[in-house]
Amino acid sequence: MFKLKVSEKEHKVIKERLDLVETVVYDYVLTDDKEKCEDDKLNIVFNKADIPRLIRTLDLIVKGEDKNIVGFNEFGQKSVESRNFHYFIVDGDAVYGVLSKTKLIIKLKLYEIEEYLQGKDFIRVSKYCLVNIGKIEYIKPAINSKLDLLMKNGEQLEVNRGYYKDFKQALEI
Amino acid sequence: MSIFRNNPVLVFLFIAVVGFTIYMGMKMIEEIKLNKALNQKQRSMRIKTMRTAFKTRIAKLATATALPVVVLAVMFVAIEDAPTQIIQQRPLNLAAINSAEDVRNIINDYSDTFADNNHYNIFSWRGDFMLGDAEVMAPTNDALDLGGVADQLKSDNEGTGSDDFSETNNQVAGVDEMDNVLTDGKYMYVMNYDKVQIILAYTNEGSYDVLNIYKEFDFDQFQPENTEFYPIGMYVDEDQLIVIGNVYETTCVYYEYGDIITSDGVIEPAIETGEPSEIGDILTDEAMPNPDDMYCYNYYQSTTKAFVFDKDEDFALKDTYSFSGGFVGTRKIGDDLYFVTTEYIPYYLMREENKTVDYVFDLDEYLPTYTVNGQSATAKYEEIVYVKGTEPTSFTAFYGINLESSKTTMEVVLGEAGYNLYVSQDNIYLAGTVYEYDQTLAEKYSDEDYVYNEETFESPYSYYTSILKMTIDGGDVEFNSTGAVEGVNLDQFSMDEHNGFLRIITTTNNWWWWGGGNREVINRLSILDENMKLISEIDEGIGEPGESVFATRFAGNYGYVVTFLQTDPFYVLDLSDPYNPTILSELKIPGFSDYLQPINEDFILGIGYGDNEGGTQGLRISLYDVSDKNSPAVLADSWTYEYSNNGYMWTSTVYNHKDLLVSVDKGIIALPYTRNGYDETDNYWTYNTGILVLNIDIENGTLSDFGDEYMVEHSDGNSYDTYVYKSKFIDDYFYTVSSKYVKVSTIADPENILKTLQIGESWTYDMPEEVNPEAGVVDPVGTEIVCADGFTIDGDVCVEDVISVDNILIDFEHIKSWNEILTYIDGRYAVYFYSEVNADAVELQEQAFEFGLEQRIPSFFVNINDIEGDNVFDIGEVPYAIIVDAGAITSEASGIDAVMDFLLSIE
Repeated sequence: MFKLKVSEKEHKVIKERLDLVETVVYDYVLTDDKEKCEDDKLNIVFNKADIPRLIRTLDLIVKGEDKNIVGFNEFGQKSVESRNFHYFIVDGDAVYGVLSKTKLIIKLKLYEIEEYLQGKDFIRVSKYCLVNIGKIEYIKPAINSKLDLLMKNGEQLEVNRGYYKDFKQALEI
Repeated sequence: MSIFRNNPVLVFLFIAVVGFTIYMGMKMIEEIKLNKALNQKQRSMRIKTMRTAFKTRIAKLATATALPVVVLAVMFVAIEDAPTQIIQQRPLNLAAINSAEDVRNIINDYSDTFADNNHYNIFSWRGDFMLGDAEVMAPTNDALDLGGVADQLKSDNEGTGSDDFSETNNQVAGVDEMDNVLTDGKYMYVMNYDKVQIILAYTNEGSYDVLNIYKEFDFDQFQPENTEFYPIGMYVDEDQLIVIGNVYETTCVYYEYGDIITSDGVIEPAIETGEPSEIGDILTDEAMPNPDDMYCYNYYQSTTKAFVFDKDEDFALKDTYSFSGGFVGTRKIGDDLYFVTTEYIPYYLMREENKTVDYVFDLDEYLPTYTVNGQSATAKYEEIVYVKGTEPTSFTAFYGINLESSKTTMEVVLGEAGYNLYVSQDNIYLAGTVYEYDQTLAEKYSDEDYVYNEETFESPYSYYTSILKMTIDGGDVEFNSTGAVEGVNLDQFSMDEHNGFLRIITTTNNWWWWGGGNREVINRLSILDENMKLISEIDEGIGEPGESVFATRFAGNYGYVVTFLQTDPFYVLDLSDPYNPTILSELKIPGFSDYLQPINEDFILGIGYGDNEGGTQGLRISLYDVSDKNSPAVLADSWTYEYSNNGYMWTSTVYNHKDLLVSVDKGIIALPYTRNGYDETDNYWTYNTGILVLNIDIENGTLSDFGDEYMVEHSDGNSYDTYVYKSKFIDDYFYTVSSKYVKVSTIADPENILKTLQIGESWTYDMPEEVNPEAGVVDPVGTEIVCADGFTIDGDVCVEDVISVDNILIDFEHIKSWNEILTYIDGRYAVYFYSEVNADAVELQEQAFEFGLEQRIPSFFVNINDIEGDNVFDIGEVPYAIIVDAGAITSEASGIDAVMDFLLSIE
């Protein structure tokens, strides 16, 4: 997504400050020198004094316009940004979206949610569960070549055999 | 090295330990890599992760490595001193326990040797993993409201039942497992969500015509206030009906409402803001929240309860039993009822660092307690059994009840929590997985100067299956012994007792994650004698490289094992000589069976998934011919529901063997199915659920051909509100039971329904009837109500606009021609064309999805590359969007900017 173009000796320091991950394929160029702008990219020219503001801007860019999912509970309907869901799970006939402590019933099928949230870093870990990568606290390989995911809300999920490859790919391994 | 020469088992151990260390080293690396990647990924998402925990965890885990030499040195010393092997046999060295202090000392001593303080360490982690959180939300019971049905008049229940009826599909003959649907030839007992329904199903005099609901149990009448009983299984015999379930205690935590008006004017109740009150808070009148502003969460407390109803007294309640602890399992043998519960001891709370300010750890709280008809008894420390060398993580309580006298015995073992329960006529076996690691190497890696080196990294991390054996007799339970075998065991079918010997199948996994290549997996058959001593095993040849066990079944002198990675080797083991088990034969077929059941001596039924092209495809029911023990098993016949783009079929039988009905006499196999499909004619997704029936001809070894099967459907249209439980037969009649219906047909023609009884209501996820009248009201001026955006006036209330997801018709595969595009549905709709090659178009697609969800006109998406046939319109630049109305394009936009505007302006 991003490429940082500053002088070599400052590169490491600034990159750390911005908490930046540079990628080979990028859309945005961050630079302090307008000569270094690239024609076909979105360029952000910043002043080193502006770094705190730049950090907030980068957050905004990456989080982007989050997509909302509508969920129901006994109190009614709620529109929630997808990044707040820890995972979606099929239980019996219903699809639930789990927030940190509560869960909402989602009136979509799991594959529909999956397609809708493409590009938002949700990954299928089993036929019945779609997990938010951003909400994984820790990954623990367990016995029987299973992968346990400890989520940020304390719950634990399992990655099914058949979905390992996609899961690894999603983590870009 | 004379030790090796003299002791072949030691060689085996040596190899095992080396294997373990290599395995654990790899596992460690795998874990580090995975979490590093996760970190990186989350950083690129600009999400802050708790890296400190990660570092600590890795450091601590990294410390848990072992130089094989160290471990072996320890082993040599230990073995030279004691002739018994560490893993293979645990001498019955029982510790004396007289008080809570003794238990605390046992735990402390053990944990000092093996565990550490980290939150993620194995000692405490495993406990959570096994038994789950104490604060699990109780399942919601409000889905099914049988209020009206409960008042139904009792139907006439005169008449005698049939003797010919189907019983529970138990693993061991004579050892009954609890189930959700049972019959005794006259009644059908159905556990339907939170109620138990007794349905008069058949009498010899009235046949199936008597079908009606006879009685219903709503357990609220038996429960004290603030507690709820949720049934999990039943038993029935000639004398009684026993209902078993969990008790949930309702604790109210108050949350206050505070409305939030969002930026687009939608008024949402702030459910999760506000401080919850604490249990024990004294609330003054001012502090007491308005009852309208509060609601309760249910907190689940571990208690298992059993109600015994007397059939001779028209199902009057006879006895009530309850047991503390997390429910593990239950069995019934004749008049004897057995329960197993586990109370996990949060030992880490005993450590200073982990103590919260106000918490005082009291071991007495965790002592198992049982209650019979109101009289309680708690385990005494003197009676608790502890075997030295076992991991003291929990109190596992075994209860035996003699139903005639209601005499109850309890035996408590301090040890490793198990979760796979296998019960024979004489013994209870409880198996669980135990993890261990060596502290010595932990120290080495926790040194700050240590530099992690992938190559030299080794780990002393090990695990094994621990088995607890209890002898049962007439309702009495007594501790017998413990044993251990390498690897992890899969389920209750992985164990079997025959002539006193225990046969058990386990799997050890060495997983190489990153290099590609095969996983190294060892599937092992172990045979233990009456004293749980290992006498023989097969540790190679079961499973191709990389394959682990998927299903096991033992039948007398033979064992059948299915392993899987891609093909489905079906192994037959000869166990006639327990000291010398051998692999008899191997049959390779694509796919795998998740569940095996012997039909008779010659045939085995397998249920699982077929494999057409290297993945799992399609539900498959196979019949294996194992009649010729000297030749490999033959696949006699199979029936497959192929997975296709248009749908797939699934059955609950793969994880619940009791859902399967097999009757050789009647010539049928029946199991619940759920089928998701796609109707191409009318373009919608279909959903069917019901009971699938196949004919089985054991003489010829055949199953129904695909197309000749029967599907007894219980779903109405495409609604999802029916959950299919089981099928049963009484006499020649076939009963299919779901949460909504009991349907009767004949075994010869199952699809021809003779009578239907509705036992459950339809339920959907509707919004509650009463909408908060305050919602949506922006300016209450006089009597005029103005609704906020997103709300529409309905009478005199504001009703929130329902966003219909039916507007999204997502279908990327079936649109092939312009003609289809222009005549997709009646009415007005939008079509959005995209191409994966054009990155902008893909990004815009996200907007389009949102647009579709929020707007009122249906929309769908077409991949430009899918369209065949003549290009009626020259699309030009992608993305491209059009509005179609009555077969004609009424407006269009091409290119990113135009489409953006277009999407925002459609009404």
